Amino acid sequence: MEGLLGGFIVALKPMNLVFCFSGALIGTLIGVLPGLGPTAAIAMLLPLTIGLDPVSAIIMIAGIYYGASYGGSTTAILVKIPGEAQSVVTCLDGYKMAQQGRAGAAIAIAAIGSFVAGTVGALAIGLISMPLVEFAIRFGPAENLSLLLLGFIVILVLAKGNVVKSLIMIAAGLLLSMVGQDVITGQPRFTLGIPELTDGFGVVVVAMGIFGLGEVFENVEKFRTRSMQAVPVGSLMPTREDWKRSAAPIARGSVLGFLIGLLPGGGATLASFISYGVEKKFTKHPEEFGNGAVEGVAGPEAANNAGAAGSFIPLLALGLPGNPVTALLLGALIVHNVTPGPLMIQERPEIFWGVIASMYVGNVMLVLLNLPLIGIWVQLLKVPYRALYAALILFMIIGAYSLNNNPVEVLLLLLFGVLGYGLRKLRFDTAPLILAFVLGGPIEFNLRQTMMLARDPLDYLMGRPIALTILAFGLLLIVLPMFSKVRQKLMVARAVNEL
Amino acid sequence: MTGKNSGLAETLRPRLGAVAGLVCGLIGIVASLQLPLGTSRLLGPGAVPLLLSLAMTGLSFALFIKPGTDEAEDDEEGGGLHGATMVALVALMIGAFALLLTRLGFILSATALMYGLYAVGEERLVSAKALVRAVLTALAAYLLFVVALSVNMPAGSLWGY
Repeated sequence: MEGLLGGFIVALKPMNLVFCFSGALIGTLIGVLPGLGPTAAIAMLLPLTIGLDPVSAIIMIAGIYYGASYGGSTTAILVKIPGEAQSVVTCLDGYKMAQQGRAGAAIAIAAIGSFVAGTVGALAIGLISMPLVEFAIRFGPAENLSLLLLGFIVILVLAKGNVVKSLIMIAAGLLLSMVGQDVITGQPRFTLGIPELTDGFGVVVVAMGIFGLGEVFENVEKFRTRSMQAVPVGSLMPTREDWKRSAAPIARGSVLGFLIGLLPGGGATLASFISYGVEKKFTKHPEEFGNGAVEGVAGPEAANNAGAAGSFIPLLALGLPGNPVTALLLGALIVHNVTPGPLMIQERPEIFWGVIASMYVGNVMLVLLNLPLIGIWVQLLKVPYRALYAALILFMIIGAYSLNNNPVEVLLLLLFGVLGYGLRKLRFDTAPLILAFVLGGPIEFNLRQTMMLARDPLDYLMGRPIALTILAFGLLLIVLPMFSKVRQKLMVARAVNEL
Repeated sequence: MTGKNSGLAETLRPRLGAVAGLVCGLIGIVASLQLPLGTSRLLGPGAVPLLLSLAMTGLSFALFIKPGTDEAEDDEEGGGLHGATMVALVALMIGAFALLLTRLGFILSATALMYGLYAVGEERLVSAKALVRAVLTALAAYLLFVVALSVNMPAGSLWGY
């Protein structure tokens, strides 16, 4: 708890409060633009943080993350367009509540649920991080490799749509990460003689291109076809019945979301979906689910916020991003010369605890600022996208150029933007690609080190119980769904026979 | 787009992705083989990329043979040929901006880019409103990034800077 108190001293410095506030505000501003969620918002706004010192920069990025998540929930409730997958569930009952003239109550419950979950998340991170870091310090290349592989397995198990496509994206992301100097010998690979590629592709340019510019291109394509009409907000004060029905879902969502966020590949989206399922089981009003049940907003909103907080633990304590947002945060930390992992808590405690404390401060700001400002966000929804997209593009271009003061970075941004757009058109999920890109360097490094250390890889693995346990868990994740599929098929076959 | 064309696009779409993956995988194999592969204990710089390229080729081939069913996303209306043209125009303008940035300097090239983007948004070649917006956006970006955040943007070699 001492570390967390130190973090609050860092986060509550006037300058950091300003950056946290700006991040939350600008993040919300981007998040309320339909179709743009936290990942795109962070990718687009990373350039704003480049001139800042690392602590302020990371605090601002955390603010952007929470602000954009909040903005995404607002659009999910008001216009049924989720900023990102994590707000999809909020659409189901949030929009129905809005159609019943209770948008204000839905938005307020979402904000309060997020705030409670954020508080639980920040405290839990404070409690869990230290033991985890002490455990992780014992990790060698084999354990790191197993953990990275487990991350990929979870990504695959949770992947949207076609698994083969996700595997192709993982292979593509890993291959992209190998452009530049070889991690062991320093020999240039796939650089085509272009000096700018010697250091490889920067994670900021790749993420900004694929998530940010790719997303903008997709929206540009829909200029003519997209029309929106926000429903009126109404009173922001939930009724006594709303409070009564939301309390338990918020509590359950906070705990459940946090635990799911800890898993590699978990995080806000999975947490919100599972919470919705759980609330549907617990509710006394199942008939209202999908028709404006307040539990359907309270639980998932709390869960996605707690899940986001939980997903910070593998990133900060182990240096492992579990989802695209944390992958971007990893990129941002690297840009600011900070290497997340077990040693960060000892070497840069002000960043580690400062970020955790600022997550809490950011949540307080969101409740205090965004509920009164809801009218402005609704107005922003009415501004046509064609009037806003140019500024977003300029932001990204300046960010790309300022990384190395080189226009080639702008061309690379364009290249990855076109790639991101193309992948969306071909219905490839881009999240596995960016995760693989970020994890590619560490995976190759740890694999080659493990091979060097192991005379007989199998024998070597037998002597590493932690690595073995992690791999066994990964195997279980692959095998279990297969059994459930087999069982389902058997049940269908039996049902058909009985007919 | 007619229903027939749309159906054809839906059939071709997964295979197009598979072909793109196949091409990338094959290029990866050829490029990896130019690098030392090393031994099983001391893997060379080409070993891991070669394995990944082989995996990508195999997976893409599998996708080509059996594309599977893609659930269409909720918001899949797209913009057709008109939308694709808009995207191509925007991409061209960004490319031109990258090439002109160091020569014309930030303010001028950003104003030109913003004008182009706003004009695309309005679907008009000449627009006073787009020009005013472009100048204001470029100036605001200059004040925010160059003046307030000390980001180093080029002043323009054409003007002797």
